[in-house]
Amino acid sequence: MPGLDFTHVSHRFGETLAVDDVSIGVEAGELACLLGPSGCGKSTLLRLAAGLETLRSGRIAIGGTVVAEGGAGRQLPPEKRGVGLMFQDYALFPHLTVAQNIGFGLRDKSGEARDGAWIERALGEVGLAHLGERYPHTLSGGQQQRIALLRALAPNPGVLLLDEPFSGLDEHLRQRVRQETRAMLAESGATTLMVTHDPEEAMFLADRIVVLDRGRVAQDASPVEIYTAPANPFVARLFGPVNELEGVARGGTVETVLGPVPAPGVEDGRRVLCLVRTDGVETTTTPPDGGRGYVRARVESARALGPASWLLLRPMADAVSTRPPAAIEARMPGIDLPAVGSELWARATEEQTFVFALERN
Amino acid sequence: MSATLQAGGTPLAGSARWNFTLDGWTLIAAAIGMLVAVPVGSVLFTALGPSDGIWGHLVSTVLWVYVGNTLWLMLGVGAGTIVIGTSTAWLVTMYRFPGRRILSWALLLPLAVPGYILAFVITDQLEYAGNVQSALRGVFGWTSPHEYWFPEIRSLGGATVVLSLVLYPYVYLLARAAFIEQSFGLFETSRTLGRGPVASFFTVAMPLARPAIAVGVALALMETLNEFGTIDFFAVPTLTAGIFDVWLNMDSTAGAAQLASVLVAFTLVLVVIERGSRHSRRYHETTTRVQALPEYPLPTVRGAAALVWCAAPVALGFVLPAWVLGGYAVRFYAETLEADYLGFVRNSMMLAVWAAVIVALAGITLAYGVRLSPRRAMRGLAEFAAVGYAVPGAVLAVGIMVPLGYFDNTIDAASRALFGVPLGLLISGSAVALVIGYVVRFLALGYRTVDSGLCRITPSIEGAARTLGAGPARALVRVHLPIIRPSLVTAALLVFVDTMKELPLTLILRPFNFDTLATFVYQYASDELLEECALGALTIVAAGVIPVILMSRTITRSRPGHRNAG
Repeated sequence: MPGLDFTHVSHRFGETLAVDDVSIGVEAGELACLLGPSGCGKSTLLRLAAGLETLRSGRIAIGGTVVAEGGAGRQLPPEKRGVGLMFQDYALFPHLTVAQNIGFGLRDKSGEARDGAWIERALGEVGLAHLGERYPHTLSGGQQQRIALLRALAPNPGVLLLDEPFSGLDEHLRQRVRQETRAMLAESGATTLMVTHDPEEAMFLADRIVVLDRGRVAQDASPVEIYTAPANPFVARLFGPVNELEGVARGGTVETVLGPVPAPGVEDGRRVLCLVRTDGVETTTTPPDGGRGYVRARVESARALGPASWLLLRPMADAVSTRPPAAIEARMPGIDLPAVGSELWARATEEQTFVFALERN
Repeated sequence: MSATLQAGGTPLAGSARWNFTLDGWTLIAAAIGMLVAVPVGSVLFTALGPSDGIWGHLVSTVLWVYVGNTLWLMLGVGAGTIVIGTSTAWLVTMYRFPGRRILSWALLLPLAVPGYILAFVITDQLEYAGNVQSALRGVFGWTSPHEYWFPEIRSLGGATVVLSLVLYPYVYLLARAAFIEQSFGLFETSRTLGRGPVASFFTVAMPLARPAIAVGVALALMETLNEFGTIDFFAVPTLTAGIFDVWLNMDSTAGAAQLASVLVAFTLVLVVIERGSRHSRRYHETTTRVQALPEYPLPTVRGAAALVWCAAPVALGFVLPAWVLGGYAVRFYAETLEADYLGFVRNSMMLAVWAAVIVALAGITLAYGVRLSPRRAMRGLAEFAAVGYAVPGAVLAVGIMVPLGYFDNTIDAASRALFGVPLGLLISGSAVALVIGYVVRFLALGYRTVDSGLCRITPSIEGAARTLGAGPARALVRVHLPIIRPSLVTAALLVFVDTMKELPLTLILRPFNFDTLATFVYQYASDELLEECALGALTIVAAGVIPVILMSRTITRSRPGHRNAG
């Protein structure tokens, strides 16, 4: 299986710079995820890799062979690249049956044993053996998704590109199809680059996540590292709401409305931004150690979400801030609703709190 | 106007009489349906009546010539329109090359030129004394026609070329709309699955657009069957020419009706193809996602080739006739004015306005009736009434003339018997017969345009009007009509222009010594007096440009993601 390499790739649409000097290497057999909000350039990278957009600057290589090069360089047409691409809307050919759709890319593949029997077996393996003669519009969304994936896999592409493969599915269906897709991809062994805007999806599927922010790589790391050690505020904010607290570093800590937060290695007097995930706010009515490291806060609102409870807390005014402190959002596991107006103790847990030094200006 | 609406509207006041009131609209729709059924029915009826053995005579002499020529012409025009229409639509939609933006609407322009006018102009240019052959003789020093070979334009081949050039826009229009609507991801998917651009066009884009292309070709072939001016001037005896010949020269109504019946059979096949293809289009989309088209830039040489390929049909089908006629019009306008140009314009306008107003009203009645009625029969009736556009003008003329003649003669005889006063031919010799013919032929334009306008009004708007106390008639006047006014104006305009261009029906049904622009141009140009009638021909072409502008605006607005919009 070949790897997929982007080297200093930039791309603009008219005036907009969609991709800005991106270098990514997806190793052979690896499943990498491009994660970011819409408009961050992730789909453009996919289309550049497939050859559906003409590369203006940089270089793209598959298995070490350059398939596109900026300037007046080489531009291999999509049909010669040996990549499979699955579109967000599946793009199943409406005038062809399911079996014909899957067999579409198998033409002219001499030496390949992938023919009618392969299609039948593949359909059987995903539990759709009876659908070969049906037309795409008669299938459910989940079925269409699997057919589209099979079609992309059928020619045995070295590199598989998936553009938001689950966005067309209902929430409850998505869970199941994700697992099936993971299994199918693992079995095929193809080098896969997938695009998504859903961090949980990326965490679940990927060996590696590349976070993109306005056309630039914000972080390129393992899923666990992305979650536990975000390289910048943008990445930290991807996984749900955060409390944003500003403060000044002094002696390796920052005083915030949620108490002192460690800021190792930050020079004294530097302004810092502390991001505390809502799951990272710990509350208690009986603080250990006489409440050291905790602040007192009043409950302004408490709502049950089901698996968790959501609290809105107002820390008591203290010596640090001159203004009345901003409200703090907290998410507690289980249903535990303190009375509105009651007081409790809160603190920011270290593993869910991220400290970034702010630019001097 | 109010009479039409009131007839259906008055009984609708009480909800208790809902069932009965629906019948009011059905009745009107049925009456409009009858208007179409009568001419076709009378053709078939006359064809089966006594005919003095003319049928046997026709079969043993000219029938197979007529049928053969008609088939060859349809085959040629079908192939020509598919090749020109589909290829230009694909290039203009998918690729970026010099002139593409202008060509995307200019490719519709030949639709403004009636076949007979292009036939006159091309003949004028290509005949022995024309510019092309004169230039060739000048260059090569030839002095007589025996020294070189030149294709005979006045032939079946010539007619095929001329009709392909003016009718390909039907295919272009529908193919382009289909290409624009197609999920572009399908084409790209085909590319990533290993097929090149050409293979992907033939295996994915073209099959997906096939229903639309079939509709376009069916419409073009209906116009081919309707065509009289071109094939008469080129002396290609098709079925339509045969109807004229048998009726006017051999004076046999029954024979004409029999030929007309054969032509109706051809038409029916086309209608079935067209309706079937429209139907199958609905199942041919799996996605509704709109995506900006890529508009691949073409390298210089191929870009130039694309420009030439797309510009050629516009140049031959529109620029050439407009240029030649414009030149003649400037030099010979006095002759045209002297031939009573203004009188012809007045006649044409009067007929066109009447046809446009009546078709618009009938269109509203039909479309609104269909909307109100939950019954399938109502929709079927309306669809039947809209079939007139497929019936060739010559067939309609025969079908209208026969019953009207019978009607007039009966009234005349009754008047003589009762009052001793001869009334003569009341309707059949008047412009009323012409207007009836136009209405039947162009009813579909009114009905379809209004229907598509009504489709954009959600049932909840209708519900709001009704719950606020407006009956169907009041809702129509207060809510629907203001909303669909643009569609209504478009419908009337299309009918107006088509009536101005119409030739075969007008030739047969016009009152004695009554000429329109179309018949004037046809007669003068047939007598080799193209220069003297150029202004008239140019007027018809200019009117024909109006619907082209309307259509190009509709098509560019149909796709929000298409950068060509505006």
